[in-house]
Amino acid sequence: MNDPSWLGPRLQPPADGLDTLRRRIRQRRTRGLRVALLGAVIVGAMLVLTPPSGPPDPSPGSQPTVRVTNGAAIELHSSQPDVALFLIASLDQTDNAETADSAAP
Amino acid sequence: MLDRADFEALYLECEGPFYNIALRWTWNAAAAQEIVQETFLRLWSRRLVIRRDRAGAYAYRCLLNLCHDHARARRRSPEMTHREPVDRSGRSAEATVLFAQLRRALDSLSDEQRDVVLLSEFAGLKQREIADLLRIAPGTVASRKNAALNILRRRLS
Repeated sequence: MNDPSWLGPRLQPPADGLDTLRRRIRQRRTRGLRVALLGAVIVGAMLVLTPPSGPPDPSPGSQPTVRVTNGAAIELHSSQPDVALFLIASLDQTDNAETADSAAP
Repeated sequence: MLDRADFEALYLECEGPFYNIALRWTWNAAAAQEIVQETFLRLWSRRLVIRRDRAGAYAYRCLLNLCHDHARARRRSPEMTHREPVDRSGRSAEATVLFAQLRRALDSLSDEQRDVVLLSEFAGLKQREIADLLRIAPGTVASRKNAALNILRRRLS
């Protein structure tokens, strides 16, 4: 197994070296695929979530607006239902908070 | 380009010499095996761009770079000690003493001298091949080897 040598015997490497190398190559490949997949998901999410560039759409109803008339009526204008719902919910919370404040001694 | 069959054939051919060279740098069986594995992982990652006839030289250079990195890290952190024996074959204490002597002798060489001696002894490379691999003149290989052998002879006698 070991040839006598003035630099010490030639030692044998572990017998499972090639199997270990194959396994590590597979692991690196899997990890590479995971990273690529995660990257694709992040880029896709950014593309979906980034608003389109350019000037805002000037057409009526495209931008949400809140108009208070004489403190009595609130009008919500938005073509996007999510924005309208958010504004209504915010106004509800504000209203509740004010009611609670006024009810406190 | 290097296909899987070429790659594995190169591994089987070089594993023994690489392990013994790495062992004379790290003096630790696990660290030497890790360096051999990392060398071939790097080669695998470049298999699509590397020429088949240059793969061996690339692997040798990777191996030496990793060995140098390991030696530098050890010099920076002298407290980094290896508790695992160099030789895991359960040889006698005589072998342990021999390795301790060899270690002191080889550690007294410069990195360049050590590369030449180990490539010549364990990889069986000729002067011209070592010169190509290290990108130095053949005469420089000869002078480094002579200087190294003189130092080793003094240290081991």
